[in-house]
Amino acid sequence: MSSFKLKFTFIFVFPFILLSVAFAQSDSLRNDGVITGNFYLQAQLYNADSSINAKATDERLLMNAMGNVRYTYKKITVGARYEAYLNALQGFDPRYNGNGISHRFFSFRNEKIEFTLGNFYEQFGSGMVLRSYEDKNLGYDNAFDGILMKWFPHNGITLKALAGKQRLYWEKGDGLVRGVDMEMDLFSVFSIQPGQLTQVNLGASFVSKFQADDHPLLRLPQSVGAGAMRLQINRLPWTLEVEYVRKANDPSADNGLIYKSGEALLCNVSYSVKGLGVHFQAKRIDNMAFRSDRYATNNDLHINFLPPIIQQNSLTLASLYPYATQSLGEVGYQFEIVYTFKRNTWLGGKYGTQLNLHLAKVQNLKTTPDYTGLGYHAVYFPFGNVVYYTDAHLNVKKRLNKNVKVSASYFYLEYNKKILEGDYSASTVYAQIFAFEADWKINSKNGLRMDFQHLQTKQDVGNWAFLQFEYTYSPHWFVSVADMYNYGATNVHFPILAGGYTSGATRVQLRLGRQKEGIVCVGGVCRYAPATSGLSLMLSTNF
Amino acid sequence: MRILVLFALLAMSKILFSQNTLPAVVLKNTSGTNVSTDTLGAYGAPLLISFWATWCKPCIEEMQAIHEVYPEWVDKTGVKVIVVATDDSRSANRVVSMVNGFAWEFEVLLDTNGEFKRAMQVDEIPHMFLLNPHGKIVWQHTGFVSGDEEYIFNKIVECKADE
Repeated sequence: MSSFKLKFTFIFVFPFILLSVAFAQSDSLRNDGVITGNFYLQAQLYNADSSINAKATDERLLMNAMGNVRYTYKKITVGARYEAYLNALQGFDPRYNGNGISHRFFSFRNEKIEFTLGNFYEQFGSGMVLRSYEDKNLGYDNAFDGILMKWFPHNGITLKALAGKQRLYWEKGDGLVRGVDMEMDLFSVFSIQPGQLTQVNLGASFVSKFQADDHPLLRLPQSVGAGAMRLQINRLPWTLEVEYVRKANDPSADNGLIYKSGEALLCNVSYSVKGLGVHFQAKRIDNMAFRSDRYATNNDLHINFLPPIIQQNSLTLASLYPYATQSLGEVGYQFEIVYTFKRNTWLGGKYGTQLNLHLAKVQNLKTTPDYTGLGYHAVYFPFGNVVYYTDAHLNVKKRLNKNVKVSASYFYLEYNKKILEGDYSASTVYAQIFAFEADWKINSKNGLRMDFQHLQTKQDVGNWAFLQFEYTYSPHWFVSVADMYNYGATNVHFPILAGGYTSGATRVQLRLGRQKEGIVCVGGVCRYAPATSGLSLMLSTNF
Repeated sequence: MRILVLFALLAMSKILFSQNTLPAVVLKNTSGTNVSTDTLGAYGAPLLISFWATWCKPCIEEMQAIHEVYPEWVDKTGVKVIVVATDDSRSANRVVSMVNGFAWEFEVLLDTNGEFKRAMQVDEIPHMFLLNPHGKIVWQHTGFVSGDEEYIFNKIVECKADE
């Protein structure tokens, strides 16, 4: 037995055995132990398809699978995750290939304190100074392995402290990360009952990373710190949130080893009453890549998370041009209105009509070069004159009668392919998308949905059309057929036939067809996905 | 090693049950106040907890479908719906304006780093849990298609009848 397995056995398994035997005889404790878990599998057979440059893999079948188990007994929780990439699906980093226990933890919580030993995820504020999380669709997991402590000394006050190293596939990153965070809900602290008074939340964080300097020529800072402050004010119907982060100089592969400090500012203002929601957000990022290994690239070892300011869109054709935050520098703003025209009004009709308008723009910072090692200087105003991304999106949803709902959308976007994909031969894509969706509830069991989208552009590969029909038999079955057709330049179809079964927490889905090469983004973090053709299976469940 | 793990599992089987109550995870409501999820149960009537996100189309379909029949559900069963937004900081600030803009009358909690979602072993969204009046989880369902709102309501009625 390897030393890791031996340690795991003694630390996690034997206490279970002891507890189980000790309390199995006690009827009063019979119901206190709870075990939960989930399981996920995605497997794909790859066929060669020359018309879309899809390649068959040597293994023919690739798969990603993972299972979590969690045991809770009174105030104690222990858990583990087993992952198997045998081998990893195309588009996922091959360093995932293999299998084993990737995540294990022991946690204790009472009314005043909570601590976790082992692997954990945590976020301070919005995540711009520290966020660890996982997303299996991206192959993203920057979990910490170390210690997390939380203290609740008074109602409305939360103090956190952590130390650890981050996951890097089946290894750990080189850097050591430590952080503290404080958050106060002033209403709760002073036992004020919420009402028409202004409610105020304050927060502050400090995070540092340590990595030895091994550069042969430059003197690199071994400790890099970042501090953040945040404020949230709620005075119904208004909400204001502001967060500011400042990072010390952090020469890295992301910024070309410059000594400039970094900063980020995020502001949200919203106004909402029943039937109307208005939201404005502005963001400025300047040299805010923050990783626990200064030489890491791609999606490896991020300590923080820089939220993109763009609305995550569910339109299939809009996802052809996804946006991800430019950590070196950007300034962006977005505005959104959500409004419901009331029932039995001229615009609302019998059932009401919903309207959603969204506008967003992201552009570069205005900078001047600095040749002393700082790299550049950037000002708050004016902004730079290079547009990275723009979108204007209008959606109207209406129920026509008891059984039929329709939705129509118009989407305009500008996508700077040179900056956002690093394709220096490409020009900015200017596109318009029209979408129409109809949902017909035939009866309580049977439903039919149609989704049609059209993208029009003179750049890139030209125009696209998308059509999907989905039949559902509530609550368990669905089947859909769809085609995405590029008739601008390539005249290639991307047909998909999919079907599945759902029962309780279990979902099984089969999918046959082609997937276009592109970028898959979730929450502003992206990975490259190659073109594929073949059959895929997805299974998920929990217990 | 395998034998030890198997023995541990067998020994534990005497006192093990699947998730039947809510775990204790601290979330925020839309006012920024902390809410511990283990205090949500034992509401005295059926409680429906639904995991969703502003970017998830079937989630919005589900919420809208329930919204259209919610007054009737409340009249007949006293059910309460709590929706847990799994939006991270990219879209968490859209949650309140969307919920109010669409005039949904659900209580909203924010799970911006997925802590509650992980503790409840939720994989895909939308995903909902039904708790009986004593706070015990009696049913769960993943996904949403047209007509599911009637299936969900039948489960709520069964839950109330079993009280």
